[in-house]
Amino acid sequence: MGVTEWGADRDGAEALLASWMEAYGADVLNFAYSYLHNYHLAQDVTQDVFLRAFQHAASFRGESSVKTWLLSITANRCRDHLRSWSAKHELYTLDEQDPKPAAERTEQVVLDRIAQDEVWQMVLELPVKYREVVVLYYFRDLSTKEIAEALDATEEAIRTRLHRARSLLRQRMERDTREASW
Amino acid sequence: MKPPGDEERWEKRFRAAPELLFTEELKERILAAARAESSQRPLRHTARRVPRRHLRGWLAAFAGVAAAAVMVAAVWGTGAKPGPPEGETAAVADGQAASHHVAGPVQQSPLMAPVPTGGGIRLKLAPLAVTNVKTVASTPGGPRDTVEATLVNTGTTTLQKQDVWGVLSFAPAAPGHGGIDWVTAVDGPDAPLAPGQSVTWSFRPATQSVPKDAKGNLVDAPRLAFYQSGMLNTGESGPSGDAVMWSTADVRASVTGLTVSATWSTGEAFVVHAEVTNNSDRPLDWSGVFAVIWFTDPKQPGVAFTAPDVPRFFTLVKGPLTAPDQLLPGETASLSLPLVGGPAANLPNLSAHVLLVDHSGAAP
Repeated sequence: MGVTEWGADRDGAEALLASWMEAYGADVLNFAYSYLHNYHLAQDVTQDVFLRAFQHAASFRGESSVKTWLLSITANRCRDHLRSWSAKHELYTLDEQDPKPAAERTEQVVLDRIAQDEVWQMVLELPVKYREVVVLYYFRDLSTKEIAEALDATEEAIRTRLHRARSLLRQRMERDTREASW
Repeated sequence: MKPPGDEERWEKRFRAAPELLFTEELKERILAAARAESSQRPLRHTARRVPRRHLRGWLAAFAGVAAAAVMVAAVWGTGAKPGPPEGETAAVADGQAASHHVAGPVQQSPLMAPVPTGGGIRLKLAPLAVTNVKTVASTPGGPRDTVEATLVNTGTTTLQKQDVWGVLSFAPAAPGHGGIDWVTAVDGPDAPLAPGQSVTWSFRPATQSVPKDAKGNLVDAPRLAFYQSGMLNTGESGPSGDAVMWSTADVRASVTGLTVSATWSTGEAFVVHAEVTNNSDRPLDWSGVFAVIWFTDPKQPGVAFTAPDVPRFFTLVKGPLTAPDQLLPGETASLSLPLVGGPAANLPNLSAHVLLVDHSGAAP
């Protein structure tokens, strides 16, 4: 796949970045949220992902899709954050209680829906290594091959994790059903 | 291949789950950060150019496809099959549109002739009554992300899909707010429509640039109009006041390149690069025009965007950093026009053309 230096065509580069965001912004944001469970952090990581992609597009060889590439950057940034000191010590959910402007209040509605959604809650309870595979497979519609590329793992390992994740989700659903019947 | 079984139930549940929207605010924030970064250090951005051997296959994805969105044409009440495509072409009314072979290297086009100016383009409304235009949900309980309308053939002959083309625009819902804030080209009904017959037509914009609220509902008022393929000759008027004039900006415009920015299973995102010079003695406000981009056989450079089966795209114009609001008389600016298209039939040869149209008179 040919990659041509685009030089100082800033307007073109900006349009390219905009089109990436149009096509994959929701993928990156929701994938980041599945790791971080914090809307503002997910937005920050999303910004970081697109800026990194923007500045390092030269390293993109077209061997995977743009979507897989962006989600791979997202996974790495989120894992870095979860390993960081701040992720282990900060109580960053406090800002969710602050009064918000109208635009953020509408976003809060979506966050509330997610908080009440059974599927999201089950997924967010999964260990990260299963959660990321489930999110990419079911929410972001990647194949196991693409997930393997995004997460730098073998396809066999991804299939194994997906199988284990399904078992965990099934156990959780059965548990909920039992509790509901009492 | 995903395994069968209770997998379907899983997929159904996951698909129904809510998800965060990538908002315009976040997009603008990231673009602003990118601008700030690139102003501090040389930009080393690369773009995937379309190799010539891939270009035809790539552009095949756009034949007969409306711009910047995925068309979901739902037709009820008729089981008839679409008719054969017509070979008719039409010429630009008042001049030769600038064009450029998208397959070639980026360069100034030798065909950078003046686009139609002044008198504009004379069009004829299609004999399609458009009623009950509204936004609806494409999935049960989902956001109102789709535009739906009832179309009635008010003519005396059966209309085939390629007989008409349309413009869907969104106007801000707030009263007293003029103009449009999103526009796209759309196709007519998929199946032939007999005189007097009606269909329910629908269209789901695929891009996130279309104004939506946080829940994904389309928030602005949709407007829809259909035109007959081809153009009226200069001086010809419709039999019943159905002729419409689109005013074109007094500019010289040419397509200088095309970049594929993303691909996915049902479409591609790409950016058309164009150079525009203001030939008039007045500033050109980007907010007052929209761009018409279309692809044709290079051997027929006179084929207009209104011709049957021509892949055409409409989009509002965002001014470049060098001229963010206006293009002053005599000045030249490079435009980048991000577009999204879906899969369709092959095209034999491809040239890209661009026009700027005053949307105050053209938007329905």
